[in-house]
Amino acid sequence: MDKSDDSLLKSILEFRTQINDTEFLENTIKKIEARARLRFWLLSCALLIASIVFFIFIPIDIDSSKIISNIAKFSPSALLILIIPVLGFSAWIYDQEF
Amino acid sequence: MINSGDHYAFATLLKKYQSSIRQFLRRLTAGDHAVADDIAQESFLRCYQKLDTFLGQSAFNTWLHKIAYNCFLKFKQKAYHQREVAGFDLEIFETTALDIEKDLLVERLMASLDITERTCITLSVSAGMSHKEICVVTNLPLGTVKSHINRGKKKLIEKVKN
Repeated sequence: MDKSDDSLLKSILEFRTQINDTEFLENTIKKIEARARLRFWLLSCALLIASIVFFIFIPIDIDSSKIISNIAKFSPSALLILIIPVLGFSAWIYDQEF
Repeated sequence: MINSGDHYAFATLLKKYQSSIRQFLRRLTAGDHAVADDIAQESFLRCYQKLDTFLGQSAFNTWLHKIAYNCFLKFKQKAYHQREVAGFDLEIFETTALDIEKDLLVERLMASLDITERTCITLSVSAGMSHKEICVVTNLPLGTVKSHINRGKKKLIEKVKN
């Protein structure tokens, strides 16, 4: 490829227009704020759920055998019903890339 | 230095880089402005979330282009699985062909290149990045970047001359 071809390409491919759009800017900032709010609520919910699980499964005198026996009391289908939404939720969170 | 959490300081960064990122993505999507702007928005969101991880090993502009390129690849992957977005079809573009300006024609021209060639050519010729910077953005070895640029240039010259 000779130099004239190179300069021809350069003149064709250069960015001619400056895109400075305030609407785009405002929308992006709004999205950032919305995502920050969503993140806050999700974290709050996760904390709440973790506290509930803590009070249900973990007795005051921490004993690992009791925790396991408490979990074992649940039927396999109930455990499955608990686990599936948690896994689904985790997969969604992972996809959102918070 | 801007930290994530400072939305308004980030707006300054957005103002400075929105043009180059949006133009880069318009070239990659071969003129699909709506898709390009969606990906640009997603890129800035990710940039905001990952600002803390920017260590200054490369220029900020390069880092931002890398995020935008990854967002574009992710979008392409999703579009491929959904098969809803017609792979940046030229027909969509031709419906608005009456008011085509130079930039739009160039974006259309980009459709004749494959994605990697489009990326390397745009970063090299339009954005003025060095080959090493393009390696950082695309995660490709230097030799591969050079050959993509040469091949892309040849294809474009052929198209232009025809």
